Amino acid sequence: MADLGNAVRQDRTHNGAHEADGSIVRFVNVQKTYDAERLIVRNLNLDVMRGEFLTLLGPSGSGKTTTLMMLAGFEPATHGEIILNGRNINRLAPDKRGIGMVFQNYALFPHMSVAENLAFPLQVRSMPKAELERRVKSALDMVELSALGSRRPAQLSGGQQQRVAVARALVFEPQLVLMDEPLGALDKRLREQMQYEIKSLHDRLGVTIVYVTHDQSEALTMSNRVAVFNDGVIQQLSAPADLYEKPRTAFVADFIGENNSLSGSVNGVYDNQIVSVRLAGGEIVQAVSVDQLGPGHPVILSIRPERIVLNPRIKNASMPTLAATVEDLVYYGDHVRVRLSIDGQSTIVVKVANDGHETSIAKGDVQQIAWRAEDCRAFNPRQGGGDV
Amino acid sequence: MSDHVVSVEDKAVLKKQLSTALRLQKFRAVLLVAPLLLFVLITFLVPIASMLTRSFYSPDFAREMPATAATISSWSGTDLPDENVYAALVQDLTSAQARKTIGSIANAVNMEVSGARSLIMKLGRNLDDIDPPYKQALDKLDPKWSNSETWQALQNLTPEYTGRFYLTAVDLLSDGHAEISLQPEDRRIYAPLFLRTFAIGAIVTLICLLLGFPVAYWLSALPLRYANVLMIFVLLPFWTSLLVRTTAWIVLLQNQGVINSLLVWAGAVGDGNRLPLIFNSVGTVIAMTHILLPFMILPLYSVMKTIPPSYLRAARSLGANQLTAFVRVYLPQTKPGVAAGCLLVFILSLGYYITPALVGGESGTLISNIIAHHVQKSLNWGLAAALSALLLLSVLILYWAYNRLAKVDGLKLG
Repeated sequence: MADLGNAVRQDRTHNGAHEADGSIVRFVNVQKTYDAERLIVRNLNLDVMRGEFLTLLGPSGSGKTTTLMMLAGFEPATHGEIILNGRNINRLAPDKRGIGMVFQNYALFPHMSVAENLAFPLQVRSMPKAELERRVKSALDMVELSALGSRRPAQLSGGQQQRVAVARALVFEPQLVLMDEPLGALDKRLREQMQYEIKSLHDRLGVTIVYVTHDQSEALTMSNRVAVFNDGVIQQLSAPADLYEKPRTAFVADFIGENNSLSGSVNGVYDNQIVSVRLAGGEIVQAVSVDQLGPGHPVILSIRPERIVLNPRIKNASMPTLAATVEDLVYYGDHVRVRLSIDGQSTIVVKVANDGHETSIAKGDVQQIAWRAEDCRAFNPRQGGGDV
Repeated sequence: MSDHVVSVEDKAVLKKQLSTALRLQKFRAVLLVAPLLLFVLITFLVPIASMLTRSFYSPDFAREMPATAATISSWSGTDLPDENVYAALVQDLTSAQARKTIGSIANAVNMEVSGARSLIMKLGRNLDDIDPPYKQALDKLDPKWSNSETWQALQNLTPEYTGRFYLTAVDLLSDGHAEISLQPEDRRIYAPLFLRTFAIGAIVTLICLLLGFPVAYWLSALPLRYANVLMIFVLLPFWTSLLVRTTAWIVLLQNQGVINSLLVWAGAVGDGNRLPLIFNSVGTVIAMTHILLPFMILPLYSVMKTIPPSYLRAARSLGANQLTAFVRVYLPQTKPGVAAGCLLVFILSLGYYITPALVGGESGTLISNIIAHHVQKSLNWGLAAALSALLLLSVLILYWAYNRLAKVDGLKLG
């Protein structure tokens, strides 16, 4: 592993730098159906950049795992091309692809010791014994399990099994490693620690990782880029910050992080893509127009709970205020979650930071709320899936 | 918090309280199990135990012939016994004649030396005409009485506790004086039969494994609803009478049966030399394999069902081709199923009785058939018990060996 460790990637910014490295995997117009009736993956076009940590995120049944399985070679694509290192691998057997994989339940061979598990991919490659032992040892060192080489997987804790599974997927030094919800079986604390460990391995070794999860916080904290899947289509492929700050569809806004949804219609279009929107109750608010809609078109507004200002002290023209009635208060320690209703129709949740100032919010109060236009995004409700 | 620390005395009290609390539970458990336990005890364990004691304990002869038993034990066995032994024999037989038990005595001796039955019955008929000295009188009645083998048989029969049944069961011969030798080759029956039983059991087990493994693998890979339907076909033999299935094989396999007729019709074999498929060991193996196959498939299936497909996928992704992945990753994990299935089939086939009796013919009968013969026909229960005990012992050894192996691998039966 020391050899790999030296090959630390030169630069990795969130955007842009990947083009220089080129793509390692390309999906070209890939489709997949199991029953010839429903497309699990619809017309997938995706480039995985060399050395990046790409996460496929989505609810179950969204096609993310199927995409991973097609890349690993366990499911054939029904249409389109999958290209690995410039070569079409549609018909290449999984064992010829040289892709490391970490499975959801680890899939450590129960009849082999930890060291034997790690040696397995090297044995099937007929590696000389001395080299093999050296590699197994350094792989064990890498995941800090040197003392447990002779144990059976069943004698390890969940976190240790997870580390062995990662080490086994890396021990034959693949350029590409796939991970299929590898942390799903761990408890929260361990999951966070493993997120950190996998991330730091990625930084050290410079391998390309394609990671599948339905846990958005995992996706945001670990990835260079995240592809949000829904209904067989990539809804958005962006860096984590963009995904949260600039969701491109209502689904993404809803799926990533907490979100308030309000429906209304376009009232007027300003320059700089800002629109004014008339809510169902008649109030006028401002938002960023994502889908470039004309006046009168219905829209869905999406705004994060922490971006709404309650009882704004400084009123100015760019922040129109709304009257809302406090329905409910929930104390969370570091913040208070206030649920308000606008005109008794739509509810909206506001996170108020518990910064030590006495808050005078009580149930039944009428409060003024406001947000910056750029924090609120207006989507076309009829557009189910945007393309990338 | 210090209130909650339990002192040593308190612990003793706690222990007592706990056992009182658990007593009712234990009592209930015993009550629930008791009916079955009693049933098994009365109908299974007690008869088996009493039968097995017959293999080494046979007091009947000594009880029927007390005088003979008392005198013949001092005979050296080299020459003919003394006159007093002859006198004791005549005295015992006279009283046996009166009790009308001479027939069973004659039978018992006949099991030791063939032809002894008529010798003793003849003596019984002529008891009134015999006068001392008995030695000459008996010799005159039948010269076989001057044969030391006859007396040897009588001496062998006298001890209450005896190993002679076991010796016979493994084709050993004892002259009654610590001299144990192998039976002459043409008289060895049981050891070859034991060997044949083990050999046929091994063959049946192997064929069951070869036929059952792919089926179980296929079933385990199918979606559950299809697998459940197809499992019915595997279980179908269980729901048919053993006799029906066995006779069906007779119909299929006999000389004028379906298979031979088809082969002749197809020109594969001539009409004159139809294949001998039944009433021999081939027939036994075929019929037993058919009947025992589910016992192989079920444990294999249940184990294979628990092996997630991700293991094979993991092996493939790590660079193993299909064959290597199967052999190195899948196969070792089926080991508990293979072991359980083989053990089950082999043990069941060791005790197989009806099928070999019906389709076995001369070369296909097994040890259980000879045991049945000794129980029902020859009435040599001691020998039958000894043979059964040896069979039981071999099964127990097998089971023990399996458990030893299983422990090493951390596997459990089933």
